[in-house]
Amino acid sequence: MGGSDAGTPRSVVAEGPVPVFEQPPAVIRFFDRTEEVVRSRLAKLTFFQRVFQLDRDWMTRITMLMVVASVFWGIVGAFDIFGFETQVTAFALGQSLHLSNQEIYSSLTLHGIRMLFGFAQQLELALFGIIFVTAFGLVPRHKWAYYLSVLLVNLSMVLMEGPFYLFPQFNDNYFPALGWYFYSPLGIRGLSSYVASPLWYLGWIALSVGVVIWAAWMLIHFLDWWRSHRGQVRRIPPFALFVLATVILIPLSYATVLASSAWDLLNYFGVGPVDPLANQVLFWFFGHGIVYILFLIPITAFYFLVPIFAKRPIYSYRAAFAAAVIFTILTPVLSIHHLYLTPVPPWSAWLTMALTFFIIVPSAITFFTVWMTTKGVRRGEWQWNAVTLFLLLSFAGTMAGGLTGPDNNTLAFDIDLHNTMFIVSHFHAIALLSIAAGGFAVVYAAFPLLAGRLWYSPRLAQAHFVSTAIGWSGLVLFMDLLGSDGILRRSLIFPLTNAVVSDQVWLFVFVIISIGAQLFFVANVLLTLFKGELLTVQGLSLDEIVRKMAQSTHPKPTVPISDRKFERSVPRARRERAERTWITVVVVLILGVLVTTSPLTVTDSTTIGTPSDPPAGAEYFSLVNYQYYWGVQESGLIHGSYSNVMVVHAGQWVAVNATAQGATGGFYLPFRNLPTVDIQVIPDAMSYWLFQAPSVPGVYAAPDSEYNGPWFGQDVAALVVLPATGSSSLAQYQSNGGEGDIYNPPVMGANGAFLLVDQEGLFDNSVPGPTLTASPGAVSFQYYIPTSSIGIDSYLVNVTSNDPNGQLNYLAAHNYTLPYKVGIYAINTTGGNLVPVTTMPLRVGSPMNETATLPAGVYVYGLVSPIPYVYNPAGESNWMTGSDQGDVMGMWGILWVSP
Amino acid sequence: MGEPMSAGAETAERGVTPFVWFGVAIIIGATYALFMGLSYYNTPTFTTAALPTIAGVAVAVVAFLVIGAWAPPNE
Repeated sequence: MGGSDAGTPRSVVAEGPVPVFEQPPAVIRFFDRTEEVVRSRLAKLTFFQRVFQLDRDWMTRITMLMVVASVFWGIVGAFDIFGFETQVTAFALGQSLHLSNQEIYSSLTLHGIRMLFGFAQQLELALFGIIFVTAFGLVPRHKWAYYLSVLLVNLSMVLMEGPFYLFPQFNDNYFPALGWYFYSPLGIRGLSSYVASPLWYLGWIALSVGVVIWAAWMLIHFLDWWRSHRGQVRRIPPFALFVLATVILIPLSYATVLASSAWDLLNYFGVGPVDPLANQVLFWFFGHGIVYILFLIPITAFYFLVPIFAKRPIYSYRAAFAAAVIFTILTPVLSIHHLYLTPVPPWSAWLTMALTFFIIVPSAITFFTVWMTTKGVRRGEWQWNAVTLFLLLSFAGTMAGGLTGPDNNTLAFDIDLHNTMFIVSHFHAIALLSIAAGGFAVVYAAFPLLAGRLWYSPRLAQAHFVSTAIGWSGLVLFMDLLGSDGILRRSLIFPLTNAVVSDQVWLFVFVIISIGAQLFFVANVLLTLFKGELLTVQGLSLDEIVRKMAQSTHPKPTVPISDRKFERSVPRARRERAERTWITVVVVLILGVLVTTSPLTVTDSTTIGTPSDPPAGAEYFSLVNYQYYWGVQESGLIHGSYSNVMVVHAGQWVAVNATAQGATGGFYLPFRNLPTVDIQVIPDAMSYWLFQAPSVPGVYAAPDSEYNGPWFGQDVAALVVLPATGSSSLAQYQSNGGEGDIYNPPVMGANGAFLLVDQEGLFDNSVPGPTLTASPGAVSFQYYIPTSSIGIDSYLVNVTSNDPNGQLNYLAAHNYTLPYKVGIYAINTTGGNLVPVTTMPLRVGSPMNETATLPAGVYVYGLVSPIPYVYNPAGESNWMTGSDQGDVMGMWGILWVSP
Repeated sequence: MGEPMSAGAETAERGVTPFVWFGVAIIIGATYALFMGLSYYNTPTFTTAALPTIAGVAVAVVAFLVIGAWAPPNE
């Protein structure tokens, strides 16, 4: 495996005197000697010897190290999502959150990072490296470059987690609550309310450098092979084309994230210009590239394994070659298709949409070519072992995930989908059912070669496949159903409708099945390492070795592993005619979809990027997203300045211009009977939109659709639609389901209402709080903030202390009264701010009675302006660990008084 | 890969060929993808914004299966 032990230091294993000038540099000799000492000592322990294959050549050893590390990060990443889903499901079932917002969103971020880079990508690098070296018969060299690459990749995982405190109080919950990706300047000190540790950015730099070193190592070895076989090789094996495509795409993609991370790090220390829009575009050149770098795992698996098990060559080599070339050319240029809601030039949005449709072509070629490779294979010639079953799952999964890609890519449809769980479902269909399933096919086909032993248990392999297929399919399905319920992605606090609760619980069930399924795999790996039958490969071709290894995952194998003679009877021209027919159909369909959807695409992207000319009588919204609340300035028929409240008359046109401070946000009005409003709002840039307000008066929720820090649950504004003239009840609004989204606050009678504040500082887990209705005249209701709700997640008591009971001590010392006023405020539509009708001090631990005599009109109740809060448990927040502070407004709602 | 040639003796069995199984996988996966898109049927701009793309995908899947069935085998 992996050729000779090229890394064995000659100075240690003496083969005779080596001239000084031929010896490796002193530092390399030192590393070699040190490694040999460590290796020989650990090899005496059976556990280490077996798990890390310490008696094998260095390429096998390092590959096993990468496999073990990737499994480790996979397990940790699974715990991350288990932690997140536990909290979300507990909330869905009416229980309170046990972890802080920062902890929960950190677990979500780290889940993405660890799964994508620690697990999937590291496994890809390990398998591609060893398969490439083995299949090409290469002698691996530059051992320490390879080790350095692996070291940096795994170091990056540690750096991205950030520092944590062991004492005076254990604390690992500051970081990095950023989302698996990040939108500059979120997390950057001095620019963002939420500040990540600088180690986060150093982690990205380490990851980038490590992976690029690996790609350079691969390229050097490919050139070795090319030079030594020049003139002897007619064609590169099809699977190697896609390995090569990966090697080319890595530096192209990682160069951009290296640049954006270095830029962020400079900004973190106050150096260099700040341009969030440019930085974001730069990052997404990587963000798209990494998807295809990982997607080439199943693609390579198909081209590598299907011909081996079909015992015949690929259907059309030239088609495979074309697919590899098109993948490589188009992948690096599709950044903008993640930014359709961003104010980018309309021509770039349209061009990226068109190019993205055309990246369907290499996928279409691949799946047709791979499928046709099996045409003519008889039932008795094909074995359904773990390798071929996971290939089949990956084939179906790529269809499920890949064919939802065109939906996302249709800009006008993307406005509806972009911030819902649909995207999460689409991503996981690709990540799990396509990429990870293809990865498992390769692992089942290659691991025995690393372990030197055949798989121990076919039954465990079967159980792994069946439970994994069930778990992942259910997980993807219920993510999608939550999306069609209307749930935003990254949503921690959400409306608890029956459908949402049911879908969330089922999602959790399938998360558990998915995690549990991997225990079969881990058990089989360990049993194989310690009890598996020794693998003998003498006299076998590479294809036969692969079949032999795969056969050990089948309980009753009947298909011989031997190669068979294959002679072409169908000429190339006939096969390529079928390929050409298929691709012609695909191109015609793409052009048809492009022509049909282009007008709306151009209209929408123009509206986001440029100010519109609204009809007469329009309302003008000037919005600033302050990360955890919206600042609203209005002019037009209504003049006013509000926080989180936008006021408009029924049916009135609204021209929006919006920007952000601190982090990129999203202005989102998820109407169900009107076109959805969804635009990204970026610091130092201006976004626009023009929409017509609903014709039915009511209160329409406007959740912040972009994740911009770990106070997302409180981060919701409201569009208050007043009657065109006079006053109006909410009867029509209520009768048709609110004519809006499930995020719209519930409606309830004001008189006698008892509004309980939860541990997040919200009324009944709703932002805004319930919309209260009353007739003109006397109105009376109560607020109540239980003392038990005061804790680390409640922004209401702004106390930072090393004492975990600091907030309660503060309350006791201040007679349970906070320095804020709550009350009822009239919405003044002719200028100025909200007009107080009643006010009283905010108290904790005893009900606050709200009583007033009110004329018809619309009012805001509760705590109606943002209050400052610093999240600093145990006083351990600083520039190195991270911090979170900002103005938060969550305990408020609308009071609707009408005849 | 898949090209070394030495004689092997496979037993021809009755049953479904891998070509058919992979075709079934395509149908299941594509049906799910279409379901995902169509589950947003109640969005107000569905007909103009989404339907052309979903229809294009549906036609492509049918064409894929038809052309695959018509194409010569890998012999």
